[in-house]
Amino acid sequence: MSDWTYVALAFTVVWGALAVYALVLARRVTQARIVAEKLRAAHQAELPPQDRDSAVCDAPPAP
Amino acid sequence: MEWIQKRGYLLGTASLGLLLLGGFLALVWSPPDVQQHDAMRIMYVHVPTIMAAYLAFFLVLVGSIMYLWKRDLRWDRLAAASAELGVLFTALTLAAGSIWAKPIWGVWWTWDPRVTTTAILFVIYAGYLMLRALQTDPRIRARQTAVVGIISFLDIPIVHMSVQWWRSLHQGPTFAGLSDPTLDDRMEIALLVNMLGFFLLFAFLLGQRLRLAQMEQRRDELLWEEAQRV
Repeated sequence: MSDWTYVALAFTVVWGALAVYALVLARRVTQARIVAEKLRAAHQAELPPQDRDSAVCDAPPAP
Repeated sequence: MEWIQKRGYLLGTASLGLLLLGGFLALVWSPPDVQQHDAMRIMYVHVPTIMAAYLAFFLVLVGSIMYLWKRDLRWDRLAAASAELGVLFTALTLAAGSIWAKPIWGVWWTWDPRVTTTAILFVIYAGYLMLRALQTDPRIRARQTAVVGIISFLDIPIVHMSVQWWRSLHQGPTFAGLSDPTLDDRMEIALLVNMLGFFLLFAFLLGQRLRLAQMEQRRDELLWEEAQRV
C-alpha cells in the first residue's frame, strides 16, 4: 500500500468515528429531552394544582 | 461550563470550519517529510487527538478535585463528560498511531513504551467509565469516581515522558512550541490549525455531553421522587 492509502485510512477512521460519535450524542440528547419532558409532565399531573409549575398559570384562561 | 453549553452552535460551526481548513493544510498545502514522506501527514490527526485526550483527562482531574471539595454534582458531570471524550480521543490516537506505525515501523502494533502506556491510559479511563456505570447512587458514584479520577491522572506524565525515560521506537515530542526549529513552518501552521480545530470540536462535544448529563440527572431525580412516593 502507498503512503497515501495509510493517510486516507487514518483520516477516515478519525473523522468517521468523530462524526458517528457526534450523531449518536445528538440522538442521546434528543431522547433524554423527550424522556425528561414526559417524566416532568407525568410528575406535574400527579401534583395538586397549587404545587404545579407556574408555566401552567401562564396558559390562557379556559373559555 | 454553562458557557460552552450555550455556545454550541458557534463552537460547532467554528470547529467545522477550522477542521476543513486544517484538512486542506494537512493534505495539500504542507510539504511531505524528508524521511517519512507522505505518511507523516497522519501526524495532523494523531497529535491533536492525544492533546484533546490530555485536556479531557485534565478536566476529569479538575472535576474530581472540585467535587470532593465542593460536593456539587456539576463537577461530577464535568468529570464524567470529559472522561467519555477522553476515552474516545485516546482510542482515536491509538488507531491513527497504529496506522502510522505500519508504513514507518513495518508493524501495526508493538509494545513500545509510549504505545503501551497510552494503551494503559485507555484501559484505566475505560475502567473509570465502567465504575460509573456500576454505581447507581449519584453521590456515592461521584465520590468513588472522583478518587479514581485523581489517581488515574498519574498515568498522563508517564505517557508523556515515556519517550525520554525509556528506549523507544516512538519519536520524541513532535511539537515543542511556537518556535520549534525541528518542524517546517508550513507543517507547524498546519498542525496548529488542526490542534485548534480539534480543541474547538472537543469544547463543542463537551458542551453537548454536559447537556445530556444534566438531563439524565434531572430524569434520575424525577424517577427517585416517583419511587419514594410509591
